[in-house]
Amino acid sequence: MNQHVHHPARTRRLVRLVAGLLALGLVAAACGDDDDDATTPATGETTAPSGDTTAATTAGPGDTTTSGDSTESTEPPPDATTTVPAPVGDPEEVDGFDGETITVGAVLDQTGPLAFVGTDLLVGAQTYWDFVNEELGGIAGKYKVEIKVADSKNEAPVAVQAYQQIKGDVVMFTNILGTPVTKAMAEFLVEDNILAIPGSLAGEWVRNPNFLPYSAPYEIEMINGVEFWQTNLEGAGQTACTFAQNDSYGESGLTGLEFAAEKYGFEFAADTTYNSGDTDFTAQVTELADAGCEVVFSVSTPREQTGLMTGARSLGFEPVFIGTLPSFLSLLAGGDNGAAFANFYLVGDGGEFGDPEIPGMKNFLDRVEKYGDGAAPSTFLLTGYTATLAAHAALEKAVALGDLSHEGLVNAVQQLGEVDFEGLAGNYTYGPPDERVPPIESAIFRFDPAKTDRNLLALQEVVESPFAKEYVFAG
Amino acid sequence: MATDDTALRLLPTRFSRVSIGLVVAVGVLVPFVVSGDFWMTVLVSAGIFAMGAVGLNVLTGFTGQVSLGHAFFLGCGAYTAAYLGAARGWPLPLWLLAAGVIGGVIGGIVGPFALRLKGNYLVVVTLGLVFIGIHIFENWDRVTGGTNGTSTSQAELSLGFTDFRSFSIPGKDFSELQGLYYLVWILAGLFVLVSANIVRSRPGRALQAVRDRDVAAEVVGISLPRYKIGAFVISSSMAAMAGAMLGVQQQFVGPTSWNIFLSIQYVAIIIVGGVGMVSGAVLGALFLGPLPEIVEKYSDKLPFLYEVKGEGGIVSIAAFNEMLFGALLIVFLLFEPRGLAALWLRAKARFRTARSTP
Amino acid sequence: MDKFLNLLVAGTALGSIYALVALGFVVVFKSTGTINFAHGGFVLLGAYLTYNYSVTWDLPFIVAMLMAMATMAILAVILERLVLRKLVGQPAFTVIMVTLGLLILIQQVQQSIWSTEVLLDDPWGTDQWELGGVVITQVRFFTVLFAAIVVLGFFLFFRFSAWGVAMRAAAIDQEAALAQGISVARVFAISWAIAGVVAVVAGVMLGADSASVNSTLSFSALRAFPAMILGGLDSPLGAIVGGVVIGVTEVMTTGYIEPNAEWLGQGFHSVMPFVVMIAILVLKPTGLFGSRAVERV
Repeated sequence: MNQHVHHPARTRRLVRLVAGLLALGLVAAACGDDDDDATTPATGETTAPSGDTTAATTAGPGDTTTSGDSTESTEPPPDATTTVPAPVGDPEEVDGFDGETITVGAVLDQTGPLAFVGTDLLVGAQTYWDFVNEELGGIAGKYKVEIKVADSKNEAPVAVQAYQQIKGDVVMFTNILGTPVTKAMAEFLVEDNILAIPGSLAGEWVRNPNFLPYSAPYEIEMINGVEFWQTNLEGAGQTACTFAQNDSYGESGLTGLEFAAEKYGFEFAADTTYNSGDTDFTAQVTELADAGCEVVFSVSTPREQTGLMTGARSLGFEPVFIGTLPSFLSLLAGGDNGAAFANFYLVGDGGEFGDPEIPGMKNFLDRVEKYGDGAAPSTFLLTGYTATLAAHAALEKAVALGDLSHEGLVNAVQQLGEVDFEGLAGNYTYGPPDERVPPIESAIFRFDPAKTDRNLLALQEVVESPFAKEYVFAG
Repeated sequence: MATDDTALRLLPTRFSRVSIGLVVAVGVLVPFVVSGDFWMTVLVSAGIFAMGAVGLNVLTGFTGQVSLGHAFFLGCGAYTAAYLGAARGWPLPLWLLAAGVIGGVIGGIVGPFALRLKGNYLVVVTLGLVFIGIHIFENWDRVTGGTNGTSTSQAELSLGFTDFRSFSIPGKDFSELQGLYYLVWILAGLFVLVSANIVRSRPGRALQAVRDRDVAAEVVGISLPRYKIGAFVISSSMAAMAGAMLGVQQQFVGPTSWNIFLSIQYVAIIIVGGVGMVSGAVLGALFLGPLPEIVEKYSDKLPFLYEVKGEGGIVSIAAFNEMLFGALLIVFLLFEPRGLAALWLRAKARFRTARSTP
Repeated sequence: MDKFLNLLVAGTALGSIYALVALGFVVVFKSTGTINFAHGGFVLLGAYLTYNYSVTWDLPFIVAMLMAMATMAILAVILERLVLRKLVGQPAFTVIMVTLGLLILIQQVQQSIWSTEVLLDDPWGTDQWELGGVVITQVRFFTVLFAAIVVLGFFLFFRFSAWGVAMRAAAIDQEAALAQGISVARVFAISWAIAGVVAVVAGVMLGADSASVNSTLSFSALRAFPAMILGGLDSPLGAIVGGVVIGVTEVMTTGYIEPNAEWLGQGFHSVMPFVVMIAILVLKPTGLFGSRAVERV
């Protein structure tokens, strides 16, 4: 079970963003912040410059879809590509599309200990679709989007059943929560050839044609975490250790850490694990302390990470902690717990939460205010919102190709080029699975008790390990 | 069930023969009438609940012992189906029987220890069993897939001459769900037969004596431990077979599903249905099992429910379902502790009286 | 740092939390003879109510805790009166199932009111004392202190107060107690009220220990069962001793057994208490301090 505390956008990406738009040669206004203007082209959508190899081989100019564009044209942009043989008209009615409304699926926790995460993810997604429906008129300016929700209760089998129950009512799955749940659903998504946005950032989704991942995978996060420690914290020669959750989420982070250890030439002095739900970490702390660890890389979830660090501090053991994105929740770093976070760094994506300089962040805050029904913007809300940007891009593409069927969506992603997440996450280049390029930069945040907004993290550094590019995602 | 002479016959009266015949006929015909996936899924789940509940009823209903360990045995069966049925490709009768045997053997090992205790203590010990079970399921990676769980979608559902995943009779092809429906309800029917026969048998009457008067039963020469352990073994074995079917129906087995709330669900089913009555277990399964799905399906008719927060409404559908479950459990125990079956018996009595007084 | 001593301190603190939870089970069991599973829900609600009064309403922490205690006492009495009172004389399992039904209801009500996990604005800071290589944090100190105070209070109450004596009488023989003019109904109500009050202390300490107050607290409360069984279901002193033994066992398992016995599996410490519990039940069912004979045939 992973809680994805998602973070915000990266400011330094603006340069790249602008360059990408210039290469497109159109809609320079697309990155404008003026989201209230209904003529703003849909976000998240810009796409590969035509020179991009991926796009060139598969999609061609059709890739420059400007969804829901200002003219409210009823037709998707003309498609000049030769790889799509059928003439493009209105998509046929298929599962999850009745000719007017597109239904997407969500399988996440609505009851149980992670219900509040599931709820926030949904509100985030709903906020984005409200914006699309209200201000852009829907997908391609005319098809409204609706979410169909099923409760996963934090149980893989429940999620699989929920999936089976609603798969016939949706065009794709846009919101899932948790690595184990995603892993369990994977087999069935492949079998049914249905597209889904994975509920975790594990690297194993990168090469799977039935997944539409976003943001840098945990493996990359941890490689960049090591880079930050070695370079910025001058950690070479120090003793490093690990602390990981005892499941597939923990494994994916550890894979990245082992890769990095080999490349940077060091070994971990102690590897500790825990079970989700543990509350006492004295044993792990003593093991880490006895091994003389100076830095502890954590692939964990917030409650346990907080428990580890408060436990360590109470025993006078205060190494540097570098955690994956899901290891931190601002809420838990408040009050007395804060002292234990003094040496905590989080590896994430994007920039600081709430930073209005980031175009996507400004849009997000404005839209939550407008469509969020009083919900307070939170990091989980942002995660649900950001994932929906990817879904939006895929749906626009599928409509442009005239096919909203399950297969049509999987196919659409194969022809999707680079998607811009407005600085909320790194740009992701889709296309055929083996050619996908996830973002390989990471933003390092540091705990900052002086911050008063909802996120107690301050952007410290943007790093890209020279080895991150070399990491091979299994096919 | 009554312990008078009529109970010695499986179907004592013409009324019961006719009504059982009707129930079976309706059961067979359902897939011809109902084709929608929704209702078939609901009925398949209910059938699996019925299998497990009939099993639990053998223990709780006949010995008065309540166990919260049912989930553990269900889990054992589900992993047997996953490991032998899906991973090893054993045929249906073999993995199903293997599940029953494994459940029975584990029940036979645990039973003697557990059954030395009564009431509160048995509840707590079986609760411990569930926690230990989850730990084993999470760690025996080679068999259970560990915390990631394991898929059962490849489990063989064929009987050689017919495959429950896709079978047909002249003039009609059945879907996989409809096939599963027949399979689980045939099994549930068998369990009902077995358990009704236990009621009639000498051991069965002894078991009820155990339930009603421990010490007196012992005095008249009923060997308590033997019968109680026997009840535990049968109950565990049926639970494991129900778990095997549940594993196959879910298509995926994970370790944390086999928790105490699953056990509570089964106990609730036999309470709501009517403890001690075989028909009660089936009625309870038919009523409580599908309830969450039905509430969800008709949730738009209930304005206080919401699917996505912020749509209006007070509670989410999922939370409401849990509340409803808790409330039903309390209401039945307070106001109709003999459950739906008692309501049915009363209705039947009224019907008879009405008929005999023209 | 001394591993053994530090683990001992951690185990004692964890055990004191188990003991605080177990005391709530014990007080109800002592007078009514049933295990009240809904107590897990009381612990959960107690923690959230304290949060609500202290953070949301911005009252001083001690006032908030007292108000939460009052609220829980009233709620427990209402539940006892409306639901449990009707079950007097029913088999143990009927009552247990009703309390399980209440537990499920309370959990969902909590989640519908407070959907997120929250931090208590508790007064014990992050200060700590070091004594010869052993670190004692304020939270742990207070946990142990509260557990000791509660158990002392129990002892005095049962020994010297009229109601305490009445409760003991009712526990021994309800009919005889009735004949002596003791209102058994009132005894039940009082024991439930006490359970509600103790649940607030347990919930607050559990929340402080596990970094946040969240919906899994009711589940954590179930983990106090082994402590209760070990100590005997009806002995407050037993709950304390049982709690500490189980807490220390659990922490020592992580520290010494798990690293050396990988075949036991990851996180074996969390089931170790149940293994101990089952062994105890099989070997000595009355627990270490229990007086009531376990019903065995």
